[in-house]
Amino acid sequence: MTFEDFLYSLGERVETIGTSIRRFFGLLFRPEPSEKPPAFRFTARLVKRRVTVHELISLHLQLMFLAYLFLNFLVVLLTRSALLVVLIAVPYFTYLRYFIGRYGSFMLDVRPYRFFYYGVSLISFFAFLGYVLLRKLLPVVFYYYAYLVAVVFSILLFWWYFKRTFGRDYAYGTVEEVKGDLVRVFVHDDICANVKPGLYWVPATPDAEPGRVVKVLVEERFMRGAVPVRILEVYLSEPSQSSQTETPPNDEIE
Amino acid sequence: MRRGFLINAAVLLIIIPLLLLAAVYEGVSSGIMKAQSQNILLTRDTFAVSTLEQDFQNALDLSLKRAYISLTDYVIQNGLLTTENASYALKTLMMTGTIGGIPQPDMANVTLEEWFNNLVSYLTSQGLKVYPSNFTAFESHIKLVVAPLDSFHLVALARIDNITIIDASGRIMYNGSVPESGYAYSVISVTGFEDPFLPASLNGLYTRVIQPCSIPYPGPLYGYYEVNNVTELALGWCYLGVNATGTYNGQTVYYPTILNRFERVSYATYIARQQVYTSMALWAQRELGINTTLPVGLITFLVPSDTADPTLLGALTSLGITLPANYDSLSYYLLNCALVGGSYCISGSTVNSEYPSFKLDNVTKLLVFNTTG
Repeated sequence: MTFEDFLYSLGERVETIGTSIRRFFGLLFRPEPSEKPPAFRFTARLVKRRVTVHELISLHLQLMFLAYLFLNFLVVLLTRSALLVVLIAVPYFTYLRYFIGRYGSFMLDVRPYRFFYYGVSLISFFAFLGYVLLRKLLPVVFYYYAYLVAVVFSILLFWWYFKRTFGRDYAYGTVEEVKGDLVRVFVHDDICANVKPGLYWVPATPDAEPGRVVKVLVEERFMRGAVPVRILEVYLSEPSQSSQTETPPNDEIE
Repeated sequence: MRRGFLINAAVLLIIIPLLLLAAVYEGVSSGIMKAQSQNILLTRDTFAVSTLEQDFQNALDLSLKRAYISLTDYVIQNGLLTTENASYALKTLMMTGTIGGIPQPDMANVTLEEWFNNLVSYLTSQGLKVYPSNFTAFESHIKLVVAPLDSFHLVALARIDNITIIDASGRIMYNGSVPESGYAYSVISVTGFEDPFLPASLNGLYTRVIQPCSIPYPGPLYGYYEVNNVTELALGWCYLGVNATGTYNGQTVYYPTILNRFERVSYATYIARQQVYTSMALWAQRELGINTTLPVGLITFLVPSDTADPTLLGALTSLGITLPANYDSLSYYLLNCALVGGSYCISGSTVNSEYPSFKLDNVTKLLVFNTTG
C-alpha cells in the first residue's frame, strides 16, 4: 500500500465516520420510521419463546422505563442530587423519543403506548425531581409524605385519563386451536385492555376456527391485569377497521 | 410463566410511588439516625471544647496570679526591671516560668507550657491528636497580653488560634480558636500586694502594701480631697487611681501604671512604656466590654519627715539619698529623681502647712484637690 493509498483510505474512513455521526445524531433528534424492525440484542434474550416484534417493543419500553426508574431511585437514595436526576432524564427521554419514533410503526397501535410511556416517564421525572428539591428546601418529614400522596393522586389521575381515552374492555386475538367446547386464543400485548400477551382458553363459539381473528371480552382483575374470558365476535375475514388486529402470520407466533 | 414476561401497566404505575415511598422512608430514617449521631457527636465535641476552654481559663487564672507574685518577689529581691518591660516579663513568666531565661521556682506547674503539655498527653491518652503538637509550635498559636485594666487591676487576655483536634480515624473533632471567639481573660486585683517599686528602690528598708485611699479615684465622679484635710494622704500610705496623664498650665505629668512600678528606666523610656501600657489598658477595657475609659495611673505619696514618716526618712538617710528642696511627693517621681535624676525631677510645693514635707506639683494638686492652691 502506497502512502497515497493510505491517505486516501484515511480520508474515506474520516468521511464515513463523519457521515455516520451525522446520521446518528440526525436520527436521534429527528427519528424517522425505520424499515427494518429493531434487532433487540439484549431484550430478545430475555424471552425464551419466540414472540412478535410488537411484544418485544413493548417489553423493551417497559425495561427501559424500569431501568430509568431504578436509576432515579438510586440517585435519590444515594446522592439526592437534582442535577443527576436531570442528567439521567435527558438521555432517557432522547432515547425514548428516538425509539418510539423509529420503531413505533412496528407496533399494532403505537398511540396508547406512546402516550402511556411519555406520561409515566414525565410523572416519574417530576416526582423524583420534586422530591429531591423538596428535601433541599424543607426539612419537615410531613411534607414528604404529603408530596407522596400528591404523586399517587397524579398517577391515579393519569391512569383514569388513560383509561378514559384508550381503555377498552375487549381485545383481539387469533384462534390457535379448538378443543371440544374450549378455544385457545392468542392475544397480543394490549395496553388498552391491559392484557398480557399469551394463549388463553376461552369457551368456544360456533365460528371459532384456527386462524380466525376473534374479538374477546376481557375481565379486569385488580392489580393483576385483565384476562380474556370469552369470544364476543368472530371475524370470518380480516376485519377492515382493524389496525389492532393486524396480526403477524401465525407461523411467527408458533 | 404462561403469559407473563410483561408487567401490566397498572403495576408499572404503582412502582413509581412505591419507589418514592422507599426513598422517602429511607431518607427520613437515615435523617433521624444522622441527626441522632450528630447529636451525640455534638455533645461529645462541645463537651471537649467547653472543657478545653474552661481548663484554659483556669490555667490562665492560676498562671497570672503566680506570675504576678513571682515578679513582685523577683523585683524586690533583684531590683527593678531595667531592660525587660513588666508586661513582657509577666507574659514569659506565664508561658515558660522564666524571667530573662532564669526559671522562677514559684511558677512550677502553673505555666501555660505545663498546661499545654498536660493537655497534649491527656488528649493523646484519649486517642486524640492535637495540632500544634509541641510547645514551640504552640507558642506561635497563642496570643497572650498582660495589661493594666485600671489603676488597681491587671488583666491577662489570651487566645489560642487555629487549634485542631483529630480523632483516631482522622476525623476533625475541633478546628478553631480557644475560646471560640474573642479572648479568655483573667483579672487580678493588685490590692493587698506589696508595691514592688518602694522596697526595690529603697533596698527593702521601706515597704507599702497597695491599699486604695478612701476616695480611690479622685475626680468629678467621686469627689476630691480637701486641701485642709490631707492627713490620710500624708500618713495613710494609701494609693490613688488617677488618669494616665494630667495637664495644667502647659505642664504634663505622666502617672505610672502598676506595670511601670516594676521598672526602672530612663525618663524617655518610661514615657514610651507608660503610653504603651495606657493604650493596652484601653484595648483590654474594650475587649472586656467596658466602654468607659478607666483610669490606669497608680500613685502614692512619700512624706519624708521626722514627724510624718520617720521610717522613710531613715531609709533615705541610710541610703545616702538627699532630696532636692522642692521635691515632689509622688513616690515614683521622688525616688526616680533621687536615683535616676533628669526629667524625673519635677518640682512640688507644700500643699498644707500642717504637713510641710508633703509637696505636690500643680498638675497632681489639681487632680487630687481640684485646686492648685
